[in-house]
Amino acid sequence: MASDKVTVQGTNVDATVARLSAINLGYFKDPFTTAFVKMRSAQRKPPIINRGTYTRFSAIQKLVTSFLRSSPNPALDRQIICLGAGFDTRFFMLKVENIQPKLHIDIDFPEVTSRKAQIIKKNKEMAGLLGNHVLAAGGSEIHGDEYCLLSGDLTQWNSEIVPKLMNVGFDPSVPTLILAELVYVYMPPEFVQDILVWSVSAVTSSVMINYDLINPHDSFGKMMMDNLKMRKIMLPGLLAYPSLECQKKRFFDSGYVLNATAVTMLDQYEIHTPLEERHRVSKVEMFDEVEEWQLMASHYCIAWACQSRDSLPQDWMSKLSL
Amino acid sequence: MDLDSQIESLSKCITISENQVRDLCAKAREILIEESNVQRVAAPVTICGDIHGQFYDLMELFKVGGMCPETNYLFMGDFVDRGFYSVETFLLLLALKVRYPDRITLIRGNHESRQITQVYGFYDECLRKYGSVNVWRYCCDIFDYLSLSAIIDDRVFCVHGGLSPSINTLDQIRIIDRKQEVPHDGAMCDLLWSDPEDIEGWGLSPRGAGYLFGGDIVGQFVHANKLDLIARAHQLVMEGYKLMFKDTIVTVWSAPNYCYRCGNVAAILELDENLKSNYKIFEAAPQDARGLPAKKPAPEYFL
Repeated sequence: MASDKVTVQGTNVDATVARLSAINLGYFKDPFTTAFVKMRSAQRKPPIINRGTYTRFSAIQKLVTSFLRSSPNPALDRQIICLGAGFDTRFFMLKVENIQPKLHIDIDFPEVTSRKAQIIKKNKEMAGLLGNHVLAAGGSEIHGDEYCLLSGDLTQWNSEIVPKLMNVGFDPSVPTLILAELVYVYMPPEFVQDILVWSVSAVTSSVMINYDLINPHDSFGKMMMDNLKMRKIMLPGLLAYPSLECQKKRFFDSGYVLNATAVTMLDQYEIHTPLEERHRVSKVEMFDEVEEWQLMASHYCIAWACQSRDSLPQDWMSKLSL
Repeated sequence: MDLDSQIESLSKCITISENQVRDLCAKAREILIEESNVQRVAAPVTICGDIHGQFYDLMELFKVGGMCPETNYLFMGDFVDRGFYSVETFLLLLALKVRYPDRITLIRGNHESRQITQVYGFYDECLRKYGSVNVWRYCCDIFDYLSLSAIIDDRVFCVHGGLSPSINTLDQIRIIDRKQEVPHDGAMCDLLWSDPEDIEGWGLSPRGAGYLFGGDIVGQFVHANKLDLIARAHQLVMEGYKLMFKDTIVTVWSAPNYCYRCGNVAAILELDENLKSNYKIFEAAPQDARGLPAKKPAPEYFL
């Protein structure tokens, strides 16, 4: 069973509040997220949540940055599609650093994108970074030369989303990064398959990055399913793809046959995060949740894989790394 | 209100008034101030690990282990933080301590500290339940008087965290001036923060306080102090307890489904009059035993 839309939209608020908590404590920098959190909703999250938010942010940031920096001029020949983007501020962060792609497209439910469009337009700094753009779809979309915010239901990929992508100037011949942060896990797998199949057949070369839940069958995983069920959050994708191997196999079976990689967030932090960075992070706040962190972080993963029409890796693909 | 009715109230997870907390802490102080840093306890005794404010799971523990004073208890700290009922949990244990001082021993965990309770929930809970931080202050003042460790029949050493590179003998623990906030380093800090690990000698702790210590260190300490066993808590163990280093040290964990999220079972360790050990495993209290839930935040995940 899939989660209903309102519940999934609620997960965006949760994630944004968590991101602001980690930002405010100094885990990472992002001057834009604060505009998306109402003052009374802001709260300091427990250290384990902050560390997890940091690990997720930095892992995705590294992959996205290595994708963009693999081109001397990403503003000419790189695209990003962010699925279920919520209040993600990535475009603005990249733009400030001057490594924004040719086109960055955020997609989410209209209820989310309307709010997001409103907040962006009201915020001088973000509005100033948009470049040429118009509001569309009754204010629920932004159509710009560099940034687009599109509304729609990801389970209606081919009928609803693809025409919108084409309409705003998505170029299938440009290398594209497709990012899904805790999106697929809420969707029945056949709808995820639509997205994978489309991207392999329509886009000349792409990388797909998926941040997801794994390991539902041990005692932590079972409790997680139960607790989230109480919040009416259903995770059909977790049961269908319960391990790192399954995540990689899904990519492979769908045509993402190049460089398939999947690591737990525990390994991302303990192995792939440089020692001096871990020292910095461990000093941000007191951390007494060592065993619980190991449990929790081994139930989340980041997985990615590439595909190319020529079925040979393109140069940029080998440069993707954590 | 007398002590027995306070215990009755707290046993139902109903808080007592701020003035009652103040008076209870004053009485507890008189008892705890007399206790040694290595408090002597006679077997039979039931040893318990972290509770972390999981009040209804503490009630499960009492169901499994028997009530105090019928059962002689030793709790190895971390009464507060993380769970929803740190106030009721700690005050109930403290009231039992005042009522039956020879039938329950409370030693200090690393969460019995001003600094850490401000990060992990006890401070906020006191503020929420009493509208001021006075109760938090009274409790923190009492934390400073809690003993640092216990020794059962001269053979079983009990401490919240573990060993310290600056401690070789129990006598060295006895001379620590414990009546203070848990320091950031040194012997007192190490006893409350350290963890056993499959290493040789001492190692850096991932917690940022205390040390990791190996089997050789445990061997030396056990030999030097003529011990059978070191019992400690501090680390979540999915199976409730874990013996290490040829059964010379055991971790006992008494918070089932820790943080309402981890899916673990909990354990207590019963030592009979001959110090023969018997581990009892228990699970989290069923939902319907938790009474009408107040508006509680659900356990957090990354969403």
